[in-house]
Amino acid sequence: MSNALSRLGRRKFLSGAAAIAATSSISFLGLQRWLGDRATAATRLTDVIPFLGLHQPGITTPDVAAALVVALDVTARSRAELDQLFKTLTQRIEYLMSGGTLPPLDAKYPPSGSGILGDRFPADHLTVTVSVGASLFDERYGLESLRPAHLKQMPKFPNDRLDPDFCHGDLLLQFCANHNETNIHALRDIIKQLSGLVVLRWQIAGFQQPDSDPHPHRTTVRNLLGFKDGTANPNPHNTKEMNQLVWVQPKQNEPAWAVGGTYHVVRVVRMFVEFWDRTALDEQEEIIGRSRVTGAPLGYKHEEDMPNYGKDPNGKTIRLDAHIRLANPRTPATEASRILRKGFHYSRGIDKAGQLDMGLLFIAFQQDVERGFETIQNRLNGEPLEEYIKPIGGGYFFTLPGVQKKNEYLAQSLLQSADSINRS
Amino acid sequence: MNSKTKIWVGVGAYLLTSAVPTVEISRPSSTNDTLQVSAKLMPNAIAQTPDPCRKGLGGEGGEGGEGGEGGGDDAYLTPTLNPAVQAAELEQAVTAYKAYVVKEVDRLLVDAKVFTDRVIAGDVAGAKAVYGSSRLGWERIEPIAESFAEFDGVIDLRVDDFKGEDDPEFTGFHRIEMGLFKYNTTKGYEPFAKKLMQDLQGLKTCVAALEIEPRDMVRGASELIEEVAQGKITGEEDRYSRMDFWSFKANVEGSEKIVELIRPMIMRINPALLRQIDQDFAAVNQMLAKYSLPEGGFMTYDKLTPTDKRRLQADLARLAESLSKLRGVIGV
Repeated sequence: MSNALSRLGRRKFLSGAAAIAATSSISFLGLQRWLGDRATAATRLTDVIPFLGLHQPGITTPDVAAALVVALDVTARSRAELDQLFKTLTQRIEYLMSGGTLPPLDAKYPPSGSGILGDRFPADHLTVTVSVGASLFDERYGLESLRPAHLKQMPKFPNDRLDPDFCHGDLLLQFCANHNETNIHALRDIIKQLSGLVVLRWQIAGFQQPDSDPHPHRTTVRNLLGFKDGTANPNPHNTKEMNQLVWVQPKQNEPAWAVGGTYHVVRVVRMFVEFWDRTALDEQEEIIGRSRVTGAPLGYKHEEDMPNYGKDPNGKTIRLDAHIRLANPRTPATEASRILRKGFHYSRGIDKAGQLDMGLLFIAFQQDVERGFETIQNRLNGEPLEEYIKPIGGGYFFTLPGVQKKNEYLAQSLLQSADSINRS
Repeated sequence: MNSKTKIWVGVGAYLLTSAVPTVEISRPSSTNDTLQVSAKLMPNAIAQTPDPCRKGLGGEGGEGGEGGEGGGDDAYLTPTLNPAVQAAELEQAVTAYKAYVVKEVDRLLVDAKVFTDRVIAGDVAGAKAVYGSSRLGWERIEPIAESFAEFDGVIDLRVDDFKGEDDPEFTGFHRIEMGLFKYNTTKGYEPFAKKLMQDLQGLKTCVAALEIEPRDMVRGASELIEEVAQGKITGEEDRYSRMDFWSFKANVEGSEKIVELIRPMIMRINPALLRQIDQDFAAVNQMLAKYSLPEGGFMTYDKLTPTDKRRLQADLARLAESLSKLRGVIGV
């Protein structure tokens, strides 16, 4: 095989690219700053994301700077308490997402909210997205026969080292807003209102500089490995594409209540950033398959360029096991496995080895978790990037369909289906 | 007049809320004999804290003259009772609670004496057998007992609050618990046993002189449950003996006692809240019963299953939410 040779050749190419990058880095940073300012102007404290809709908010909603993912276990003692849980949850989310004023109470009572955003709290682009885990469909609430067809406990993939205290859950709440405080304000409100009905299982906060590039196949977002991430994401504003890839449709062998929902995958992927930062640039780029500076696929000029793998069958330009090539081989056969990604960074201290504990809070939505994330992950198994990353937590969930009318509530279609089954 | 001492129970927990006024106090040295004895063991501690009945951070020690009923700084704290509550019935409840606290401290001294005598006599098995029961009085009135900074620091702190296992300042129940259950010995722990009894005696003196405010009593009900929800549930309290369920149960009983004393008032004002409180107390007690032993006492805490722990967490959280409304309900 000529792999070693081709690598040598590419090294030469890469060193050239690095030199170009060095000379253009100032203007690039300048551009990024300009785009960053534009993004700040675009998302304001007063921004209200509508709660009602065919689908829940927080999926195709434009990305924001702060995320908080919280897994809960449900401790409701009965079906009646489970109904109460979803009704209360729906009311609180609607209230929190629209911004408002904390009702004043007699000072001898605990205040009606945490007050961390003041008595008048802004909407701040908040979305709270509610998903259910496979464990909610066990014998406790009579929902066994209504489990979405592909919903199961997230399996362990070969490179995973899953911490059991950081996986799965009956419920998942995904908070996204312009500011961390907004997410925490919402979480504290919800936890207080749901006391007795849920307990916290795990949580993780994420952050990112939202994508400010209007071009659909370009992004300003980089992961903590320094590479552009999400370039090849499907377009969330393309309804047709979303209906093909993300939203569960009628007649897909799913329970009727699940139509309009989507499979929600969360993966906490630790990155060994010190090791990565000690890795030569050409190796980094080979592992990913893109230029670090421009984001262009190796051998191409622009980030949005579509790599033609047909012309590179042996991986001379982009290695066969490069991350981007495995993740999205760009063949008609692999089109259906595409997923809608929402990535955030996390950083949470120092591990036992004295290294930085940071990485990717990977979030993905898809119509079918097996056809989507699992297919992609199975292609990625064994990729060279695995030396630098370690998935440690997360889970598979199903995002409930949206609430379409005032006074309806999340999971209503699921719970009512259960009632009609139990009656018959 | 010492008996006019006033406290804010467990104000430490409220430090961050700034709702409780902090009063700097400086008070002439006490002449309490018991504490003179303990001063020999902990000269530094006693030198820094001249008042043995001093309250915890943010609290108010000193003599009754400071502030007083409805006066000065804390005028805004003046009770505005719910109209459905008679001042006299509330006063009666407080008097009954004071009697309960005194009785529990008396009981604590009796039980702890049995325990410390066995430690001093070198009876490891005998001391182990009564460790769990020796602390019940303390745990039932924990917010009151803990409010005396001097005594909480020497009676009930965990090793984590000190430099390490050998830190001479690490004293009290848990130091002896460590000797008994981790090192299976009483040797060298005799002085700690003696000191514990002296400190408990000091606590008794302070409790006798204590005037309990209605608000502190009512708040105590939720504080006892917060204590369980935040600490006991983790199993950090009795880590060597694994007798956490004993302390757990005693905290719950202490809280139930307060609810019992103000029950008619809650019933009148918010019966739905009382139903929820009763339901959650019952659920917690049912779970504790599951881990109790036929001969009395409880299984070790490591027997608690993850599912039951989640159940307890949920019920305690809801109970704490309900109890946090009691001050508002009564209007104190």
